[in-house]
Amino acid sequence: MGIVMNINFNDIVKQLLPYVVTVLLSFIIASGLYMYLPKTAPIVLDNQQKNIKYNRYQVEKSFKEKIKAVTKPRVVTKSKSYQLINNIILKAIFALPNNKGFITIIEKSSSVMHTLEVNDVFKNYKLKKIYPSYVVFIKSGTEYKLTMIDSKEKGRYTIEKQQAQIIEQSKLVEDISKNEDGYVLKKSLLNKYTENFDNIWKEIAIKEIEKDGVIDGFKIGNLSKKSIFKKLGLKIGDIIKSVNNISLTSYEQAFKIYADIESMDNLHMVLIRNNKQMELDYEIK
Amino acid sequence: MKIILKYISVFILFIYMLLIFLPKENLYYFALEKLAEDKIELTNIKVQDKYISLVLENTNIKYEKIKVASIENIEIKSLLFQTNIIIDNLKVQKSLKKFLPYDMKSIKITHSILNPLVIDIKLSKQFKIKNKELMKYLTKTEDGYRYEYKF
Repeated sequence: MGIVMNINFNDIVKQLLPYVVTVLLSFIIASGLYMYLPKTAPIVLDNQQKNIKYNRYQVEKSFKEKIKAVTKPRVVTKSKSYQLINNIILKAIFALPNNKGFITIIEKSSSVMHTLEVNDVFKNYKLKKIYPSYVVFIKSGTEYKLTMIDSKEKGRYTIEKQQAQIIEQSKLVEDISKNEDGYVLKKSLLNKYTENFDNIWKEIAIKEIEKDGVIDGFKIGNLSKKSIFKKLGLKIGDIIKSVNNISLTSYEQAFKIYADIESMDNLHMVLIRNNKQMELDYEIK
Repeated sequence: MKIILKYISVFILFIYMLLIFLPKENLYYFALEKLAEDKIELTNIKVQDKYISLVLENTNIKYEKIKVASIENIEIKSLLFQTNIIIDNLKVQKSLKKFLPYDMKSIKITHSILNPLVIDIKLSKQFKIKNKELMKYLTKTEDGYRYEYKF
């Protein structure tokens, strides 16, 4: 009886052995694979900027209260300033290409003749540009145009005051208004772009500018005349460096700005125009 | 006949055991490394190995660091001759809704060894394909659109 039991046990082992071997074999293969495969997820370096988001502090919005403007008596201080319009005569212009050349002016009070080149400063007025028929001076952000109307009529000239502003008054439209704090942009104006991504590319063409293999802003290649970008004061050739303190160093950053447009209360742009840094600042309402 | 049946059963057991023992989580990490080479990033809050399937919860998909979509649940299941990927609650970023359907309840992707050249994709929501570039690769059939790509 005992011998019969042994035979049965052997048979069972014999029957099961291939299955056990199979299980072991699959386990060994899986273990081998485990040795080869990575043990953790790849570490992704987060090179996101840690810049603080641009926010214009608005007391009214924070406390939902209207704050009365403090009325203080205005103190007007009189200061003596040199009057370019009254005191000089543009005698001659020698203009060369690329804004080079020199001009000759005579100071009325002393009848002394002065010769100036571009970037020379005369009584705090800096000679900015020389054109064949007129010159432009700049003093504390304000441009002064000094024109020779007729060379026969010696000593006659006109001076036009030009504010060195990004937006000229004539260009202001209904959607962009001006208040005490600066320019205000209507939010509805941006809807066209938030609703359809393609609308942006119909009106503006931009190309990334690389510096040492890293994106260092986006250059405006083309601009539609009726676009919001034009109204905002952008020009062809401008390099947009940052928007709301987010530097445009990758497409990711550019996309992030686009994604945040709807929640933006302010628009602060830093751009390079003619090798000079400029800033555009808008409140979005 | 008995021997043939035995061999088949051993083979089936081998496949299933291999599927169970397979380090699926590590295989997923390997796939992530390969995707990262193409600037595609997948981040998950939870990765679960469920014997014959792998479940990924709250997945964010990024391309070139730009968030493209988020998926609540992905289940990758391999059955002997068939592999299923079930994607639940896919939400594409708003800014890309022009190109892709914005939000979808579920997508089922099926691949079978019996028909290896075909990948079957079923969407829970029908959508209009507006992108002309994408249309070039799609041909309309009775059942829907067929994506054709030659290797």
